[in-house]
Amino acid sequence: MRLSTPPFAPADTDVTDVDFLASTYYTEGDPHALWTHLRAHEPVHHFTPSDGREPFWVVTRHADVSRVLKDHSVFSSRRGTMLCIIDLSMPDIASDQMMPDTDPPRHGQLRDPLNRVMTPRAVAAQEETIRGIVREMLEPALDGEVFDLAQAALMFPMAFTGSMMGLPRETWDRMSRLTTMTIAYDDPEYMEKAPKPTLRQAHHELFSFFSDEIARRDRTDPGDDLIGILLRMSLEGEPLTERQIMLNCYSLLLGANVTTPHVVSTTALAMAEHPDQFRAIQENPQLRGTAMEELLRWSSPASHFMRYATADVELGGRTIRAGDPVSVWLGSANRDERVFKDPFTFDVARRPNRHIAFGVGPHYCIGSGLARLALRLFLDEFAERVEKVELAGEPVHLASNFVAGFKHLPVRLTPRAGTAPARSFAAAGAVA
Amino acid sequence: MSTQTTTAGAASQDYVAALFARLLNVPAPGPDDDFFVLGGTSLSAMDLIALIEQERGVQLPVRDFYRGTSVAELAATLDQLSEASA
Ligand code: HEM
Repeated sequence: MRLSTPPFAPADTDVTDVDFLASTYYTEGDPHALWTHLRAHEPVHHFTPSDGREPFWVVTRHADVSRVLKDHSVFSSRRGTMLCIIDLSMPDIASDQMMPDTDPPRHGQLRDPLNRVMTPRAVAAQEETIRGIVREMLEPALDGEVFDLAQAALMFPMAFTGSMMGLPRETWDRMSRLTTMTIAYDDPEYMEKAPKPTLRQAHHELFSFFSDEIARRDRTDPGDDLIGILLRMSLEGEPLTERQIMLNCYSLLLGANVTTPHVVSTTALAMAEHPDQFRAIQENPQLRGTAMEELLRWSSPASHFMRYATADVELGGRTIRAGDPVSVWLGSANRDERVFKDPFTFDVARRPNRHIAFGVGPHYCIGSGLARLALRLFLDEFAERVEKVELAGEPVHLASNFVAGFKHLPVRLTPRAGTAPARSFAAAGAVA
Repeated sequence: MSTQTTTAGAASQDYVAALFARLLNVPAPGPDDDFFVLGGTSLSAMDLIALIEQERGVQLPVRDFYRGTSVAELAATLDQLSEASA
């Protein structure tokens, strides 16, 4: 998705013409102008697709978005949490089986054992591995030639998540492409034949990779990585089925792969556009913590999530009926004038910063500790090794109604002369 | 030669139709009926491929399967694969 900034004229935005499902709207339209208009005039908007697909609600204010995500008793995840279900008219196949598509208390049975190894403290052990991955990603960009950072960034979370899950390295390239196919199923660079077959084939191939990996494991001694933990977990007193393990592997990998790269790309883009702020974080490492949070707010890579109402409920002056799908827009909530001072100003020192790029409530991103560690290591390395960032061509956005992201970002990086390698920020005492 | 291919093709179509019927719990699918239109999902497609390997000894790569998912198309793919391995 394009990160448009004012000046735009939100008052003139004609909401009746907008197709909230069309991926092209998010690449070529002006979603921030639309959301700004909706926040002001119609914070809970009802959208009816013109072609008979299921109508759904569009929620844009920070307070309403947070309420929907927190109140699982009225806004359930069980029927699925992404608009692709409505976009492609495909029912969710993971209800009650996959952590994101499960409500408490069942949700906790799937989440707690995984969460124990994904807390900020637990993932700190990954620091050296991830720093190595960051260096490998940036090294080829530092020769002063034009470099497509968006393409390199797509492999970044695959590498650290792939190793935490214990997936064989030779599968990573294909897996990374497949995860992108699932959220950019009508992007010409990722689509195969048509949107639906693209999504199905990507799911099927990913499940097959996981199924092979599960078959390779010794059930009595499955290992300590994430797949090993899934193999030892149980649900309602029974060990997870192979299906449940596959689906939860899928959600972990998808969660990591389709979001994190776009914060990396946004970092380069924002620093190219705001050289003064880049200088500030180069000279003052203390600012990098707030800078990273601002980059998360600014990029909001997961654009929406969805819930289904379980009862009639009032929200933003409208009545949502039991059974209605409700989409909440994190990118909009993170520009809400009611919560953020000058929301369209990029400010590496912003404080407070109550962004909800990782969501809020019971499904609050389980990978947030890992993502923050990885993005902080990237930001450190980027600030220490790069003198200047220039855009070397137009950014190209991924066609997706779910992910605000890039597929190409040509940049030219001028290396900083004679700098020492980045310090360990854990040693510097910055790990929360 | 051509008669043989036709016979082999028809046999495969019967097999695939029966397989769809079994997996998706539908009565007698025709040659143009598509696995996914009949209610298949990426998960049931995994079962389909596993059954074909068990029962026919043919390894059907995921990408080949998605090239054509109707009874007739899948039967043709299976015939090609068995010929290639014969
Ligand atoms: C910048 C990077 C990331 C962003 C912006 C992000 C965003 C989110 C958001 C908004 C949610 C809440 C979904 C909901 O309420 O339904 C979520 C959940 C989740 N994320 Fe992330 N995520 C990121 C990185 C990661 C990583 C690195 C992983 C895995 C290693 C991951 C795995 C997951 C999983 C499994 C869930 C579901 C949690 C649950 O249902 O309890 N994410 N993520």
